[in-house]
Amino acid sequence: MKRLLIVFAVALALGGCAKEMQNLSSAISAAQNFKITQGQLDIARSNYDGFVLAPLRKYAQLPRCKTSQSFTLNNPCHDRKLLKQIRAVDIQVDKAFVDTQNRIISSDDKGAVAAYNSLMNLIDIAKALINQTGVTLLGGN
Amino acid sequence: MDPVTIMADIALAVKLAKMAYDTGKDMYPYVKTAYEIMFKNKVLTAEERDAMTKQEQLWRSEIDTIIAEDDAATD
Repeated sequence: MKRLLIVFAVALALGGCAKEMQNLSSAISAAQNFKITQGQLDIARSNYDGFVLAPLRKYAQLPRCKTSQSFTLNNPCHDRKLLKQIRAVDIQVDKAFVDTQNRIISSDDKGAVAAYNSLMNLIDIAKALINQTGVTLLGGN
Repeated sequence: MDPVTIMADIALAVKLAKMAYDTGKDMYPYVKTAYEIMFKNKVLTAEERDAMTKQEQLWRSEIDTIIAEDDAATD
């Protein structure tokens, strides 16, 4: 099963399907849910930095939207409430990464799996929010 | 279409292309790293993880500065 997933992942990666790569990464991780490896955490972190944190920074750098204005390609701007909301989730994601990392270091396999699952849930929330920004239209996921 | 509209459209397209390029440029190293770990058995060194942490801290501090500016703004 794992081999089949990897072959499928390679095929998609060669096609440049970044989003599918992320989904497959999660699927492979789930298939190995008895233990979280340092590699799995590094993949999650690289994906998070690339697909959430980098676009979030770009979004923040856009001018602030005026009242009743929202992001359009013609007039890109950041919504202060949405930015704050995503950053609040990002703080939790950051803590969850540290928590998972500490559990991997201390060989707490069961704790690492639980922490990693919480981390994945938080990342899903962050991704859903970053998709609302519109900045992902400009090269994001 | 008059020349002014055409020029405005071209200017917008260039602006969007620049934004897409800048966003992609920031994302690319991380997506590449994830790909290499997944498919090329790359193992991150402690230095590489430290570099990631420093980059994350820098970006988060930039975002926090902007949020603080937003909070202080009255518009």
